[in-house]
Amino acid sequence: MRWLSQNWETLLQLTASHLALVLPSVVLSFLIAVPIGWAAQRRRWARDPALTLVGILYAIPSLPLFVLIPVMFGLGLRSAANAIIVLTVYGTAIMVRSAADAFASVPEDARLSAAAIGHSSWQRLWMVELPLAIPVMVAGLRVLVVSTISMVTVASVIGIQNLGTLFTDGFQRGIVAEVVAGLVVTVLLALVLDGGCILMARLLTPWTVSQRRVRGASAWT
Amino acid sequence: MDLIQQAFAWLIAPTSWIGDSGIARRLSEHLVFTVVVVGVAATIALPVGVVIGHTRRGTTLVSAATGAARAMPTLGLLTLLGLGLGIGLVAPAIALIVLASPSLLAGAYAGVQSVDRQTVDAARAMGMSEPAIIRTVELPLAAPLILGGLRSATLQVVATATLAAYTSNTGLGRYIFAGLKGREYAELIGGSALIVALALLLDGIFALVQRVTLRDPHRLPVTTERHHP
Amino acid sequence: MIEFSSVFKHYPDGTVAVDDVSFTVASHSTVVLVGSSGSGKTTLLRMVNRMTDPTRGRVLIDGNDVAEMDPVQLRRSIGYVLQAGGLLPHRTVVENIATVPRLRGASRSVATKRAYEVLEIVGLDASLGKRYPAQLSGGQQQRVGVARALAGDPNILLMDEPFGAVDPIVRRSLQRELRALQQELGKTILLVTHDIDEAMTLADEIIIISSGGKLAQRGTPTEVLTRPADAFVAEFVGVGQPERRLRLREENGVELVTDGLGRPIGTLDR
Ligand SMILES: Nc1ncnc2c1ncn2[C@@H]1O[C@H](COP(=O)(O)OP(=O)(O)OP(=O)(O)O)[C@@H](O)[C@H]1O
Ligand SMILES: [Mg+2]
Repeated sequence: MRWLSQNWETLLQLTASHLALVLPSVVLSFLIAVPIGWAAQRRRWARDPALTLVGILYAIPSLPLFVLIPVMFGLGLRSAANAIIVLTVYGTAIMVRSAADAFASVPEDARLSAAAIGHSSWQRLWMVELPLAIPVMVAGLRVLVVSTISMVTVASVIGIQNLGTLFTDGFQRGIVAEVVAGLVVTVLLALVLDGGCILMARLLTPWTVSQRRVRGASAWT
Repeated sequence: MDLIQQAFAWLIAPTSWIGDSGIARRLSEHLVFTVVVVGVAATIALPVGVVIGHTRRGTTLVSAATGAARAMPTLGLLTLLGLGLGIGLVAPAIALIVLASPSLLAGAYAGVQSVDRQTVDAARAMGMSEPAIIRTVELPLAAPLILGGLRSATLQVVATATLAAYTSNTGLGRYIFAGLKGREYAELIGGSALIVALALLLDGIFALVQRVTLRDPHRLPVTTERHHP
Repeated sequence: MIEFSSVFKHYPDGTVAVDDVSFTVASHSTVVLVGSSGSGKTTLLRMVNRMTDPTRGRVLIDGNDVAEMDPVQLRRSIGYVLQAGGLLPHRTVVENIATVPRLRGASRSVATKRAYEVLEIVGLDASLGKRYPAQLSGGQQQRVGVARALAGDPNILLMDEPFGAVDPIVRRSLQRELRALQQELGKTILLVTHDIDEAMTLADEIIIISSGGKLAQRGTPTEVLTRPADAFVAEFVGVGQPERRLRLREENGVELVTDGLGRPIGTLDR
């Protein structure tokens, strides 16, 4: 507690740097992964290569990647760009599979009837497939957000500032309170943003809420 | 490019491979550490996951454990335990067991739980005891997902063992930390490449094992999540 | 008028779904396609709104080949009812019904007004309009499916096992309503079912498809029952089977109609 009262400014600053790395990575991963996930689901030939590639990317440990990416792209080791690229690689790997699952979860019936009543393929994508994919997509987004928040702390060992800096600094100076504060704030941040995702999903998908309320009504088969 | 050449030169130089901090030594430390940690974690988590899947009690435990493991920053846990237990191997081993267990737990749980209830009912109706049901019906059918959990956990531990070198003198991760500190870029980049190669090799071996043992096309693809630093 | 002119459908995997079928659906009539599962009924139906294109042969609407029409525009001009309504789960009842008018460019308020009109036509209370499909019973969903098909005021209605997902009692009443609706609106209806009784109830003309996608017989319900073209049709419509061999006997002073096994069906109305 004493550590906290003396260092809350540092804490705020690190939280801000943390978010400045997490948010762009999450947004980029999402924007890259959703079209790939869609293609993997709708184009049969694309599925296996896409999912295999994504699996391989995900198998690479992050710490070495924080070292190798700057060498490959000629970036500064401690630059924010380095962290964002690494996080986006993992984020995309996580999200492609979720997005593919999300599009797979759209009932075939709904797709067919949308086409049958005259949606063009773009209209079907925007007005039917995307909205119906939201619930599963958001489940993936939650994993993405929480994992990214936790993973970015690794970047602190190569000197990129974020909440993980509290771990390295606390460890080197032997301050347990600092490490604990880092753990608590990181987990809290994850909980808050996760809650934000849930809330957003509720607002975007009113029909699932009503399905929850009316359990007896015949389900979509 | 120059850096990459230097790293390559370091990797193939015989002198890099021998000695107390040679690649051979670090690689075997890394592998032994990984095997021990995954072994201990599996001994604890797999039976628990199977029982939860069989009885369907305690499913919230599974989702809470996987959620917590995902949100918990590995480095935070490592440094905290390092401060508490000193800079030996015990602290990182405990941290890694804690972090690897949820994937194994989830794999075992999901595997057993995915077995068709009617199949299990039929086995029970034939007079099989509960342990016999688990052994002869549920475990074989759950094998793909259990193996998937094992794959996730192993990759996660290989990755996290790298980070463990931050608080203790072990494994391939040393090259990264020593390289960062002493500005030994050849070691830093060469070591990083080694770790990536090791992880991909292990992933490939698992992929192969899964393909060979689970050729049944009716089985679902393995998609347990994992979390690693 | 819809005209099928020697249409074939071969799938790449070698399945022959439709094998040289020709028939016409006269304007303002109801034609029912029956046949066993996998005989190609759905495939035939979908050729009309180009959800499927024939491998060979032509489908004409009022003399115009559908192959020359834009599929999206074509679909907006034809009502289509699927099993379980085929409703979009993320849209309310009214939004579902208003979809086609909206796609055709009607303003939201005009489309909504139209949606409430057809909701009334199919006998549903306006209060259901704001619900999501999952909040409706199976029969209600089915009616919404019909309402949605009617919303664009199409001349043609395609219905694929529209009452397949509801229980027999609801199905009976939906069939009755469809007949009444048809009397009033005079649409050209092509309907698929594998329930021969449903076909007898609804059809002006029945088309029986045998497996392999061949047309086995076409005719009015009376014709197929009294003059089945071959053994398959006879078997399919049940000619000669106890269920269709009705008998008359007197019981308690009432003329009782029974099936061939003596089970009572109803009373005779002279
Ligand atoms: N995309 C496709 N690829 C290959 N074969 C197909 C495809 N779609 C349908 N078929 C096959 O074509 C045949 C006719 O199918 P169709 O759906 O028209 O039958 P149906 O008469 O409507 O059957 P049901 O009563 O079961 O709905 C079936 O053997 C089916 O398996
Ligand atoms: Mg069909």
